[in-house]
Amino acid sequence: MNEQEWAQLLSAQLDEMLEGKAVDFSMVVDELHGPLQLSQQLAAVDFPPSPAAEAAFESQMAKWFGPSVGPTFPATGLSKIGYIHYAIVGLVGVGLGVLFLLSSLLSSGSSEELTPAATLSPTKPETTSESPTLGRPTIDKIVTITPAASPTGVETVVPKVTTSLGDTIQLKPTAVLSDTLPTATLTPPADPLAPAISEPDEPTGGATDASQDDPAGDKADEPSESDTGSDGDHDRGHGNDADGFDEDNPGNSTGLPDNAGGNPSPGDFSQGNGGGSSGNGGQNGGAGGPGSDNGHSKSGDNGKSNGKDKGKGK
Amino acid sequence: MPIITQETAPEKTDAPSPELDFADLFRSYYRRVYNYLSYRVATKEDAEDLISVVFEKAYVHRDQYDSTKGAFSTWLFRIARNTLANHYRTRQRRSAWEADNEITDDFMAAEPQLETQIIRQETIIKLLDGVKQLNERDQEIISLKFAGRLSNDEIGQVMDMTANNVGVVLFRALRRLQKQLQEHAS
Repeated sequence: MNEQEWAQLLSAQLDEMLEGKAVDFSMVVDELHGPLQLSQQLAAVDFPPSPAAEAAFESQMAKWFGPSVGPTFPATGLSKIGYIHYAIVGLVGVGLGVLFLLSSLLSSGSSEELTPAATLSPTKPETTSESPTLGRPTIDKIVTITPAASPTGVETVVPKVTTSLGDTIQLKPTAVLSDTLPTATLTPPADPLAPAISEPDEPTGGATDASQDDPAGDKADEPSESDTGSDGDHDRGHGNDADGFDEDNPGNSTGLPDNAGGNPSPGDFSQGNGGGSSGNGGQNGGAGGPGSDNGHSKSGDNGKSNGKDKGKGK
Repeated sequence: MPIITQETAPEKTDAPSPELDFADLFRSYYRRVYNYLSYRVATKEDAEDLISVVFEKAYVHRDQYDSTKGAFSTWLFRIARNTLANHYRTRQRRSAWEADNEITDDFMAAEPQLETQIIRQETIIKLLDGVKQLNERDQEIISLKFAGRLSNDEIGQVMDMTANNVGVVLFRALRRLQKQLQEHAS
C-alpha cells in the first residue's frame, strides 16, 4: 500500500473514532497503530470554557438576538412573534382550565355542605291512631276521628279541633269502639250483711275489660243519676226522704216524713238503708206518734229487722 | 405591525430564518471553536478573547454566508482561523505551549484519582508540546481535525485543499508526532 492508501485508511478509522465508535486495534495494521493511538489521545483533550466566558457569550447572544430566543428553539418556520402568540394562547387556555377546575371543586363542596342539612330525621306522623290519655291531649291538629278496631279494646281518643282562629277546642273524651258504645256497670258498695248482689252480665264488647285496662274507665262505670232513670235517692237510704217515698225501700214509704213529728229514734240510725221498719218501730216507741204498725210494715217479714224492735220502746 | 401567524409566515426554504437559526448555530459551534482556539494559543485568556471576536465577526458578516457555497462549519472556522492569524500578527513572537498551562476543573474532575490526574496531565502536556513542534499546516490540520471535529472535506474547504490531500497531510503529521514523542521519551 502506498502512502495515500494508508492515509485514506487512517482517515476512515479516525472518522469512526471521532463519531464515538471504539477502535479495534487487533483489526488495524501495525502501520496505523501509532497514529491511531495518538489520535485517541488528541481527541480526548478537551478545553471547556470558564463560566465567565460562557456568561459573556450568553450576554452577546442576548444583545444580538434578544432574551426570548432559547437554546433549543425548534425550527418550525415561525417567527418570534408567532411563538409569543402561541404562548399567550396557551397561557389563556391553562388559566381557563384552572378556573373551571376551581369552580367545579367549589360547587361540589357546597353540595356536600348542604347534604347534612338536607338530611332530616323522620318525624312521627301525627295521626289519630295514637291513643293519648285523658287529660293529656297531644294532638294539636285537626283530627279526623276514624274508629279503628283495636285488639286491646276500646281506645279513648281525645280529639281536638283547631278552629280557623287557632283556638284549640278539646272535646269530651269518648270511647271509640267500632259502632258500639260502652255500657255502665253498677258496682254496689260492699255490705257484709247483705247478700252479694250479682253483677249484671258484662255487656258485649267487654265493658268490664275496658274498665280493667283503663283506670279511667272505672269512673265511667260508676252509676250516674242518668243511668238509674230517676232523680236519685235523696236520702241515700236513710229514710229521710223528703217526699216520703223511700226509693230504697218502697214498701216502707208512708207518704209522711218519717221524722216529721219528732226526734229521730235510735232505730233510725241503726239501720241502714233497709231498715225502714226500725224507724217505724222507733216511732212507735219513742215518739208516741202514730202506730208504726200500719200494716205496711214488713219488718218481720222482710227480715230486715233484727230485734231492734225491742229498742223501739214499746 | 402585522401579526405573523403560521399561515402568513414565509415558506421554509433551505436558507434558515436568520435571526433564529444563527443563534442556534452559534450555540452549537461555540464549544468546538473554543477548543480549537485553546489548541492554538498559549493561554486560556487568549482563547476567551479570541472566541468573542470570532463570533462577533460571524454575527456582523452573517448576511454574507451562502449555504450553497459551503457548510456553516467551514464558514465559521474560516473566520476563526483568520482571527487567529491576526492574533499572531499582533504578537511579536509565538510562544510554545507552556507546561504550566492551567488545566480546567472539568478536565481534572473527569479523573477520579489524583495520581491518574497527574499522569494524564503530564501526558497531555507532552502531546501538546509535541504538536507545537510541528509546522503550521500540520498544527492547523491536527487542531481542526481533533479539536474542531471537522471532516477531511471540511478541513479542505477551510484550508483550500482537497479531501485526499488533507488525509495525506494528516497521516504524515501523525507519523511525525509519533516519532518526536518516541525520541523525547528515549
